[in-house]
Amino acid sequence: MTPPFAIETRGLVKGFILHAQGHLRLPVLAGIDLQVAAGECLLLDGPSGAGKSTLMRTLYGNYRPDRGQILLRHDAAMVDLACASPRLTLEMRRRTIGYISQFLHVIPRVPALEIVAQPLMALGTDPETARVRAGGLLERLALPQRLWPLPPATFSGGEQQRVNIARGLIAGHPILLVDEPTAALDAENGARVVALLQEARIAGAAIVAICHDPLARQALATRHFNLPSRNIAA
Amino acid sequence: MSETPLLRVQGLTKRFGQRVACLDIDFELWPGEVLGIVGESGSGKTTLLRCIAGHLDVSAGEILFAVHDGLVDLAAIREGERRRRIGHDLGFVHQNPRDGLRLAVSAGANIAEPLMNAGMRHYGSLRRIAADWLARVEIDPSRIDDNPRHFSGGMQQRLQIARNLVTSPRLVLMDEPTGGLDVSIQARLLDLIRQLAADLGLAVLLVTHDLGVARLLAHRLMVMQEGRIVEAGLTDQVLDDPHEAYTQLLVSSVLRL
Repeated sequence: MTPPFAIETRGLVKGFILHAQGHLRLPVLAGIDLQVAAGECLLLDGPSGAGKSTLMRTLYGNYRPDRGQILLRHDAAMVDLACASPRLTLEMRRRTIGYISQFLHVIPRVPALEIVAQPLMALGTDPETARVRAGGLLERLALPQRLWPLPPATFSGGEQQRVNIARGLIAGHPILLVDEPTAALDAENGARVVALLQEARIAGAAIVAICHDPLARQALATRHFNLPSRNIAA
Repeated sequence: MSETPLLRVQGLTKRFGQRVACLDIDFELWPGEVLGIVGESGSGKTTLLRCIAGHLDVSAGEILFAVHDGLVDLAAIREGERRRRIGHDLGFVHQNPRDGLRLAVSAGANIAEPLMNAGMRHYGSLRRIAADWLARVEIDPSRIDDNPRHFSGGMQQRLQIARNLVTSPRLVLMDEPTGGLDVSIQARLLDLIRQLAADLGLAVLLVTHDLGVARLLAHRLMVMQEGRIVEAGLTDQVLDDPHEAYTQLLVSSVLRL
C-alpha cells in the first residue's frame, strides 16, 4: 500500500548553538508535526524569524535536526531523512526531493542550459534529450535563447532565478521545496513560474513553499501551516 | 548505488615520535564520490593522505582498498606487492606539480610513461593517447614535445592530472591541487577536476584548506583538527549548519562562500 503522505514530520526540533557567542542556544523549530500529501501545496506562514527557511532547509537535509523524524516517501516507502546516511540523502535528493532556493548557486564556466539539464542527466536521461527538455522549460520561463549557452554568473537576479526554477523543476521530483520562487521576478514572469508549479502539483508533486507575493500565495496554496513567532522549546 | 566502499579506513593513527599527527581515523569512500578533508595546516590532513598513498608508514590501523581481486590493506602491504596488486588503481596529485611530473622529459612522455610502465609499447598509440589527454586537460596538443619546465603553473598542474588519470585509476588522492595557483586559474582547474571526476566516475580524496574548493568539488566533508576528525557530513550540511565549535570558526572565518 502506498503511504498516505509524501512528507510527514514528527516532533521536529531544530536549534543552533553558536559556540563563538558563549555557546548561545537559539531554538528555532520546537516540535513541528506536519503532513503533505501528493498534489498538495503547503504554504508556510509566520513572521520573519519564525523559522520558515530553517524548516525548509531541514526538510531538504541541509540542516540536521536535533530531534524528531522527517519521513519522506522515497521509492514507495517512508524513509526518515533525519537518520539517513549521507549517500542515501544524496540519492533522495537526486530522485525524490527537489529544492528551489532563493538564489542560484552558480558554478563557474557552466552554461545555463547545462545547469538546467544536469538534474535530468543525473537520473540517466541522455544529454541530448535533457538539453531539449531544459530548453523547453527555459522557453516557458521566457529566458532569451541567446543566454542559454552562457554561464549565469553575469545574468540579472530575475534571469538567474528562472534558471534556478527550471533546474528545480526539470527532474519532476515528487517532493518540491520552494523558497520565495517569485521574489526576484516581475508580475509576468512570476505568473509563468506559478503556472509551472501548479502543473507540477497537479501532476502529483507534494509542494512546501515559502512565498510573500500575495498573488502567488493565493494561486499556489492548497493549505497553510502556521509557524508561530519563535516558538520557544518547552 | 554501488554496495561496497572502495576504501575503508579504520583506526588509522600516525605518530611522529611523541607527537600524534592522526588519531584513530575512521571513514569510508565510495566509488564516484569526492570526499574533502578540510582543516588548518598542521591538522594532520596531508599526513592522512600520505599514509593512504603509502608515502608514510602508519603507526596503527587499517586502510582497506578494494582492488579487482579482493581487499588489500594498504597499511600492511609491502612495496613490491603494492605495485603488483594496486598497479595504477591509485593516483596522487601533488600540490606542487613539479613533485608529480618528470621535468626532464616532454609533456607527451609525462603522460605516456605510466602507460609504458603498465606494459603498453606501441609508439603511435602512446602518442595518440597523450595528445588526447593534453586536449582533455585543455593543453594545446601541439605542445606535446615541449618540456613542462616551461609551462605555467596551471598548465603543469593540468599535465600532472592527465599523467594521473591516463591509466584510469579508481581512486585519486589530491593534496591542495589548486593551492599554488592564481584565483582565475583555480576556477578553470576546479571545473576540470569536477567534470573529469563525474565523467570517469572517479573516487577522489581531496585535501584542501579552501572551503570554496570543498563546496564546489566535494560531496562529503571531514573536518580535521589536531589529528582527529571533529565533524563529518554532506558538504552543504557541514558548511551551512556546522555543529562543532572548530567548524563554526572555520566557516565564519571565510569572507563569503
